[in-house]
Amino acid sequence: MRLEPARPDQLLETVHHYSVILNQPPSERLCNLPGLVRLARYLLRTAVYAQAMRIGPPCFSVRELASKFGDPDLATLLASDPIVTGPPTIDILEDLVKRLTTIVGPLPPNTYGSISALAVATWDEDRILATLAIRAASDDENTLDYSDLPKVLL
Amino acid sequence: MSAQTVLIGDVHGNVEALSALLCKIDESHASRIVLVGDYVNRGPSSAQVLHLLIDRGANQDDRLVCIAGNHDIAFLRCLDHGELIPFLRMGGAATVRSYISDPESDVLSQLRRTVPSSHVDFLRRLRASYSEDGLIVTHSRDLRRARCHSASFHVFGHTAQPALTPEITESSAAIDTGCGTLPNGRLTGLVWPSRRVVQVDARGRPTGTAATD
Repeated sequence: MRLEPARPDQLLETVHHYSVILNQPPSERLCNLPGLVRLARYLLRTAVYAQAMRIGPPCFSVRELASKFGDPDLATLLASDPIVTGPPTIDILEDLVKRLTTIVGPLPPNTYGSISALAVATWDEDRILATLAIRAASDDENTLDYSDLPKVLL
Repeated sequence: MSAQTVLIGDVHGNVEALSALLCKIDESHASRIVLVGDYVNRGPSSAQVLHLLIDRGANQDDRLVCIAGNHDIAFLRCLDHGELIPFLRMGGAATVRSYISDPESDVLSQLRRTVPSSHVDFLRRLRASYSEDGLIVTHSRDLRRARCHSASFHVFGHTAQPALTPEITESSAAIDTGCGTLPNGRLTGLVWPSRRVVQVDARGRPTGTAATD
């Protein structure tokens, strides 16, 4: 497989597009907190890597990112190990979303009012968005032994 | 002419293919049709597939027998127990869309209101297996859900055959040929006891598959 060079501006546009999933009413946020935190972390990590590429040589770890942006909290916030990040909380979700919107702009409006409605509405036209939404509504990506959802890599 | 049973593979929301295959089977005057399950998900017309099968008297008697697939069971669990997200993970959004064009925030309640009771009854009446002399039919290769049997030939679906043709051995036939699942997937009918194969493509056109004995 031939890898194309990463295009940070396009990545940031894509992250912004998918960030609509994070735009949920408070009750929906509470019900789906683990999945939304997982998604917000994934999108922010992608956005911060893309931002780093835009201003210089790419980074290859969250520690490098933290050092590059002079923000030590990034190393913890963007880590993929749950022992490092701690359990998901509303405060963590809000911090992730705040940082994300600083980079990519305000979350796009979600007119559907829930994650499942967004997933169903976009299933035919935007399968990746629908897939990310369904994953965000799942308790744990690894607990279900049968999934039709493709992997999503930004 | 001796009695014939036609076994149909996984449909996965493709009413065009199912309708065309049933028309072809009707011409052959088969005495019985048995579907191996997975009527819903992935394809765009799950609601229409259920409607067609109900309209033709599915599971009213032994002329049209419908077996439960794991996707059908998940659909019923979604409606009965509210397990919407596991259902969506299996490609259930396509099924939901076949009932609802404009989803509301509480999709589950909207789906429960929209799915006709006849469709729910259909899902409840699905059978775990079917058997007749020398033949046992189940959804998957796993025979644990079937009642005691002494059949020598086992027909099942569940796993799409990448070659788009059924895998037929001396003792079994795997007849899920990717309808609604694989690009260019086909819907298969296997005639018992002759083991002749009838197929249509995703648009319901005959594929010209050769007979298999």
